[in-house]
Amino acid sequence: MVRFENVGMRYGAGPEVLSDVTFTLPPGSFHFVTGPSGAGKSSLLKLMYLAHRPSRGFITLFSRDVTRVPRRELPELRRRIGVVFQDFRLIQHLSAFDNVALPLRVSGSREDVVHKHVTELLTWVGLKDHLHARPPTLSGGQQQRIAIARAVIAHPSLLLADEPTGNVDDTIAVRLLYLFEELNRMGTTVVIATHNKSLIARFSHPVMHLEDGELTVLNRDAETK
Amino acid sequence: MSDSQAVLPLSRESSSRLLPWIIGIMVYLGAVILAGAMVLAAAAAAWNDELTAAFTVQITPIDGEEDGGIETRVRNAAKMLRNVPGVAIVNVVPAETTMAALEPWLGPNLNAQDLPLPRVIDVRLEKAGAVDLAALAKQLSGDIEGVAVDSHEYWRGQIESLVRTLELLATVVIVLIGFSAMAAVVFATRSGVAVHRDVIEVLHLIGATDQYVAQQFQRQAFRVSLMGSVFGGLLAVITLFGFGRLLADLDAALLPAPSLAPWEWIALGVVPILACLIATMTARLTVIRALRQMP
Ligand SMILES: Nc1ncnc2c1ncn2[C@@H]1O[C@H](COP(=O)(O)OP(=O)(O)O)[C@@H](O)[C@H]1O
Ligand SMILES: [Mg+2]
Repeated sequence: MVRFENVGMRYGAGPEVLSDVTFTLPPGSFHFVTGPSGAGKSSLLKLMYLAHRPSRGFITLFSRDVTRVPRRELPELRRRIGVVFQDFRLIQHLSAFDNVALPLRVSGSREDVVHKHVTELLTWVGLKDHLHARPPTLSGGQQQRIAIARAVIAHPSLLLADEPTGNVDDTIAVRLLYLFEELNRMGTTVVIATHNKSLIARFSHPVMHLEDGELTVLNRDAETK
Repeated sequence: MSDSQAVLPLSRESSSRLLPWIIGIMVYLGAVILAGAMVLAAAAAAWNDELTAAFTVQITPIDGEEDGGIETRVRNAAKMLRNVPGVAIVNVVPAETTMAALEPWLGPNLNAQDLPLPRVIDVRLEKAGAVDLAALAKQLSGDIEGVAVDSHEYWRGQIESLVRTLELLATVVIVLIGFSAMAAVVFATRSGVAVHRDVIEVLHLIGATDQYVAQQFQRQAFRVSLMGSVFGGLLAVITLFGFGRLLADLDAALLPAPSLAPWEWIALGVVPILACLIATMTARLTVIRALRQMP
């Protein structure tokens, strides 16, 4: 599913924020990425959701060498990846419904299908009464659920979440992770970046630990080479 | 639930609010200039017809000619001209008329005997080109001394080059207007891409193609240019009708009634359509180019 080989990454002409990162995530796996602030967790996810290209090494996604794919083929690959961004990155002037509908609309889904799926999902995450509310009028937790709904609406094969439990209390965080586990059971490969150690401790999933841009695998289950 | 809510709030930007006016003014100027050029071309064609359907024969005095000799030559020339097929009217301009016409330049105390003036015969043809002027001139000067035929070629040449120049000028001005409109659209679109960079990036990351993003800008450019075109087009029609009425009231015999043929109205109608098309395409190309710089 995901394979990194000696990957290095830098922003512009800056120093390497990731060095010699090598790992393989099998399809259907569930991983945490952890490490102190500034260790490179978000950067690692950016490489996975194709927002950034590595400065060296190889990244394989869905059996494609994505370090070399032409730009015009990126949308097709990105549609198979769901992302919960660290700061949600909801579109502020669009309603909850329209935000969640975007991944379906950009891939050309019919409007009746969009309506059915989006209403269903927003009902499921408990936002049935806020379909037409804009993000700024909603609480942090509600915005987060919109962000998650948007990430999963198109049934991605790879789900990436950057600090999804950042600003919710522990009980909600645990419920959120149950939701991700649910999706994982249905076949989605899940990667969650978080520095919340107590949360990680409550689950048995393998952990990739980043420190100063270098990857050390703490949990023996994470397969590496 | 429809996709009525714009993914990018482009219509709220100041550049978007200004653009309909800019495009409106450009459509207005383009349409009025085009109409002016077409009316002028029609007028010039009418003048040209007028000139080719007539010519002038001049009979110059000859030194040492007996008194009344010139009158005989004038009569002979007129007689010959009346017998030419295709000639409608032969009008011998009396010496006094010529004299009167020259008075402002030569003074009132002029005497036909003092100053040998050429005599003039105005000839009107049944229709333009009904007579081979070159052959006629040769024939006349073979039979009668001191005859010159003026086919108004000089004036026709002058009018033609004037019309050509004005047409070229109109074309250049319309093309410049088009470029300015394009520049305005490019500017507004670029600023739109810059302002909404974050949203565009999110769209890209959830799998939107450049085409999808460009479509948002294209739609906005189309809406804006349609508004501008309707406004500019209406204003142009009002101006042209107003101007037409003014000219009709003027009742000047000099000008043929300035009116536009149906195909010319169609040509004017193409101006706003072209403006919308150019604005939409320009927005699309501008966005696609700008997006290629993004990850
Ligand atoms: N857009 C950026 N431009 C330049 N440097 C960045 C950018 N984003 C992150 N960095 C740097 O990269 C390093 C890793 O950051 P990040 O991946 O956000 O870490 P984490 O998510 O683990 O806190 C940090 O030193 C940070 O300053
Ligand atoms: Mg981070």
